[in-house]
Amino acid sequence: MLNSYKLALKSIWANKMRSFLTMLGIIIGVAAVIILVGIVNGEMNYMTESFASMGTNRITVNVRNMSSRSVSVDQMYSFFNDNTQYFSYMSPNVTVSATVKVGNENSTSTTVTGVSEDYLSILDENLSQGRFIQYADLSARHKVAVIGYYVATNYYESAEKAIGEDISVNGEKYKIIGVVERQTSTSESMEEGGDDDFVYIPYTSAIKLSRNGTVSNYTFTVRDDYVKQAATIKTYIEDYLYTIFKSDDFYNVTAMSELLDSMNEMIGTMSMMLGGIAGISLLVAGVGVMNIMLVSVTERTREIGIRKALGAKKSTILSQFVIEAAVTSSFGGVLGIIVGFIGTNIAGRIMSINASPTFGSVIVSFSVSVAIGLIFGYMPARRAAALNPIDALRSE
Amino acid sequence: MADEEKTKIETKDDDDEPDEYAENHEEVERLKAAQAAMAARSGIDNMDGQAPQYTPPGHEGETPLLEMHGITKIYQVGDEEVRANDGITINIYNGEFVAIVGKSGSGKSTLMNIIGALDVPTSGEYLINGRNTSEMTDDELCEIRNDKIGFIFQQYNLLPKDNLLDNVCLPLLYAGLPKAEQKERAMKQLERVGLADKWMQHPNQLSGGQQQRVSIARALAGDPELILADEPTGALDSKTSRQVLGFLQSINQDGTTVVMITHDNSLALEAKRVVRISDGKVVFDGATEDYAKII
Repeated sequence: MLNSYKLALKSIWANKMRSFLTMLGIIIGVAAVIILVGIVNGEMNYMTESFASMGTNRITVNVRNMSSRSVSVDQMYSFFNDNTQYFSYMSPNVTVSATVKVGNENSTSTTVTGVSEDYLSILDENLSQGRFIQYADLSARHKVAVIGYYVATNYYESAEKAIGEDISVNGEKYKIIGVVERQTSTSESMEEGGDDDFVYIPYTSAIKLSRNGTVSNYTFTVRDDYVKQAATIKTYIEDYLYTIFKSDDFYNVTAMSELLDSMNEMIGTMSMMLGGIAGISLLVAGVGVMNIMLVSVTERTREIGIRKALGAKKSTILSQFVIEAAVTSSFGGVLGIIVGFIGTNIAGRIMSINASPTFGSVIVSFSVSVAIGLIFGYMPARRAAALNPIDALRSE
Repeated sequence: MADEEKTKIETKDDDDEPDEYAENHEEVERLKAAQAAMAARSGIDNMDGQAPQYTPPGHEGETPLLEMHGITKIYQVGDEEVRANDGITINIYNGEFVAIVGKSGSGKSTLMNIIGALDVPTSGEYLINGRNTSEMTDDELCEIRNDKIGFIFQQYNLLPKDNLLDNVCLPLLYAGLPKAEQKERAMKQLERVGLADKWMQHPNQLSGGQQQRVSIARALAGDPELILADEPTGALDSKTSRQVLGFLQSINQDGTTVVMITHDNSLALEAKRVVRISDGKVVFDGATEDYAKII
C-alpha cells in the first residue's frame, strides 16, 4: 500500500505538466465551490445582521380602518396590557407627511413620526442629549420633539445646542427635548434622508397633524423568552384583530423573525444552486481525470506488462492506478482549497462583504474531489489491471 | 548486376524477416530422421514425428523442475485455428542449461510464455515443481513468476523512469520484502553484473549490453529456480552477446536452471541441451553434442 503511494507520487512527478493540467480542473472546481458558497454565505450574514439590527423581536401591525369598523389606539393598548407576558413594548406609529422647517431652512428629507414613550426602547437606541417623549407629553399632547443626530448637527451645530430650541412641523412649533444617538456608524458620513434624519413627536400630536384621526401602524416587541415563538404570538394579534374586523382583509401582521427565516431559506436555496453549478465543474474535472488516466494506461501498457511479468498482481496494479488518480485529485483538492480561501478573501474585499469559506463547503468539495478521483480512476485502473502480460509486453 | 542485387535486398526487406529466422526445412528433416533412428534403436515408439522424450544423464528418476505433457496452444485467427504448440512434451531438470531453438513461426515464443507462466496451454499439462499451472488462478501465476522465475527479455524491458537499483528491486518489491533487504539484495546482483557504481543511473543512460546486464541482475534478484531468457542476445553485438552468454553459463554453474529461447543455432550450442521446435512440435531433444553433429 505504501509502495503504491510512492509509485503514484513518482508517476505524478514524472508527468508534472500533465498532472498539473489534470489537477487544474479539480483546483478550479473546488475553488469555485468554496468561493461561491463563501460569497453567498457572507452576503447572507450581512443581510441577517442588518435584519437583526432592525429587530428580530419586532412585530408590526398594519390596519386599514374603515368608518364602519376600526380599531382604536385604546383598544390596541388594552390588548397590549392584557398580554404583557408576551410583549415588552408597544407603540403606535403615525407617519406624518409634514414639512420640517428650522428657522428659514426647509428640510424636505426629514421624516416625522408620531410615537409613544416606548419607541426608544423598541428601537433599542439611546439618547445623546435630553430626554425622550414621556407619558405626560402624550396625554397632554405636548408639542415636543426628539430629533435625529443629523438634524441636530446639521441645523443646530451640535446635539447640546439643539436642546430647548424650536423646530417647525407644518408651521407649528415643537420644542426639542432630546437627541437620539447617532445610528449610522462613525465611519460613514451622515446623509440627508439617512437613518439619522428624523423627528419623533408624541403620536397624539401626530394624529392631529395627519388630520386622519386614526392610527394604522403599530409596533410590538416580543419578550426575549418568546422571540422563537414570534410566529405563534403573531397569531394572537391576528386573532384579536379578527374579533374586531370580522375579516382578515383589513389587517396585516408581520413578524420580523419570520421575514428573516424566509430570507435565510431563500439565500440557502441560492447557495445550494450556486454550489451545484460549481459542483458540475467538479464533475467535468472528474471526466478530465478519467481521460488522463486512460491515456496513462495506454501509454504505460508495456510498463504494466513488465510489472505483471515480474509478479505484480491484478490488485497491485489496480491499487497503483486508483491511488495515482486519487492522489492527483486530492492534491488538486488541497490546492483548490488554498485557491478557494484566497479567492474568497479577494472576492469579499471587492464586494466589500465579510466573505469567508465555510467549513461545509471545504469538506464537501474536498471529499467530492477525492471521490471523483477514485470513481473516475477506477475504470482505467481496472483496464490496466486486466491487461494480459503477454500483450502488454509486446506493445511498443 | 548492381541493380539485380539491390532488388534482391529489397525483396528480403519486404519479407520483413532475415534469412536466419526462416525455417531450414532440410535441417529439420535431418533432425527428424536422426531422432526416428534413435527412437528405433532404443525401441521407443516414435510418436507422430515428435522427438522422443530426453532425460539428461544423471537426472533419471528425479522429479523434473519443469514438466510438460502434450502442451497444445491453439489460437483463433479469424475463422482459422492455429496450433502454435502441438503436443509438446519435455521435462527440464534442476541445474540444466537448455536452449529451445526454433525459427519464426515455430511456436517457441508461445512455449516461452507457457514456461514463464505468462500464459496457460489450451490443453496438456505444465507443472512447475510438481504444481500444475493450468489449475492456478491469475494471482497464483503471479506468485510463481515472482518467486520461481527470473525473466531476461530481448528488449531488456527495464522501467525507463526508474533508476537501476529500483529496476532490480522490482521483483523483490512485489515479493513484499522489506525495503532494506530489497536494496541489499539488489545491490549484490548489480555488483555481480559489474554495474553497482551506476545504480542511480537510468536505463537510457546505458548501452544495450549494460541494460541487458541490469535485466540479468533483476532476474537473479529474487533468487529464482529458473532463469528464462528470451533471445537474450537478440539486440546485442557479438562481443556483448558473448558476455551475456558468459553470465548465463556462470549462473548455471552456480546451480540455477537456465532455459534460453533462441532462433540461433550457434548460440544454442553454448547450452548443455537443445530442444528444437518446428511447426509447434519438438523435432529434436537431446544433448548439445548430438545436435551439433546433425546440423
